[in-house]
Amino acid sequence: MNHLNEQLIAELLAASPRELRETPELAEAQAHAVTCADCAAELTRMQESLALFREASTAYADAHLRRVPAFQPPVRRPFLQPVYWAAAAAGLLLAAFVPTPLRHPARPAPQLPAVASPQQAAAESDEALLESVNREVSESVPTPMAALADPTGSNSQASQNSTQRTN
Amino acid sequence: MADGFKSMPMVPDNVQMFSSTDLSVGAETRATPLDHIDSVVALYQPRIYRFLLGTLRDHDAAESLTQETFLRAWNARDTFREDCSIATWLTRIALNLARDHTRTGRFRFWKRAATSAVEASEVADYLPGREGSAEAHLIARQQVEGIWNTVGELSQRQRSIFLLRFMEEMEIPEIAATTGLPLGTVKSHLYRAIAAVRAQHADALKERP
Repeated sequence: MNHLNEQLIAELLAASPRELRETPELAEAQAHAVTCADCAAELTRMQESLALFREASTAYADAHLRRVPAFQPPVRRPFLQPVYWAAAAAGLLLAAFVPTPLRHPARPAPQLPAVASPQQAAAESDEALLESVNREVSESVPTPMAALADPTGSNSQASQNSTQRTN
Repeated sequence: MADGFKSMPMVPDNVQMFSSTDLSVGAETRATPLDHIDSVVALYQPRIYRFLLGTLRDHDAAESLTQETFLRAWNARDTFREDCSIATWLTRIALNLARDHTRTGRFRFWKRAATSAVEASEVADYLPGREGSAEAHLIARQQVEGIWNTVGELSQRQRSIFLLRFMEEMEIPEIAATTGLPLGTVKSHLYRAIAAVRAQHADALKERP
């Protein structure tokens, strides 16, 4: 038999011990490797390298695994259960459709007297004063036979009394 | 994906023997081996992390996806049909997460600027101490670094299959069950990966004085 080809070497490296026993082709290749120094050396080198790779990568991962926190499953909270959400939704709906007789009528808000501001009060008094002035000015021409307005007020009354006394 | 799986061992005995820490809520849920999550994590977290670290070559991503793997498994524990082992099931979840992670643009960006990337020399530092000459140790370091670098250049699928076989020591049928690939496809990818590693090995031998 010639040396093992690449495919057979790969199959020998990948096969489990059980497969090596149960597959005639692999058993034959293994038998060749026992008698052929070159093939045996090649297989041994590869097996050793793969074993070193496994050992080093396993040790490396194990060393770094220490910083990985252990998984903790999330705790289920009762209020997150769908049944609780359904109950909450039903309660809200019930509250929204409470029969109206049970509701207290809303009291009208008390009407507070409007408090005039100082500026507003001053403007109103000014307007009243202007209005009275306008009225008096418009009546400056007396109507015929109308009693003259007493521009002096009490003086005219006083002079009339003194005339009657002298008579 | 689960169709056509080989008959796999159900739940490992060592998992069932663990003390019960039942975290399930409600009696309506079916009891599953994943209910004993602390035991499952203790047993399989090193394996899942190792596989993800080898696949992604990034500490942060491996840590994050290890947590995500167990979270997904926990959330989907009711769907675990026990038609394969827990190890196979968890590895399948991790493999899918790694594939999705690799596809995203975020991974490609961070791969370029990764600060938590694993260098081959770091891995080689963890070679177990053995009796032998300094030269033999140096050769061993070169072999490990060579394989680590070569595996990093394989396609995602070849790399995963190679790691499952030679790091996790899964047999080929179990790899087929984990990846959901036909047996022949798994073998084909595996043999190509081995050929690449052998070629690198041969080159290293030639360069050696």
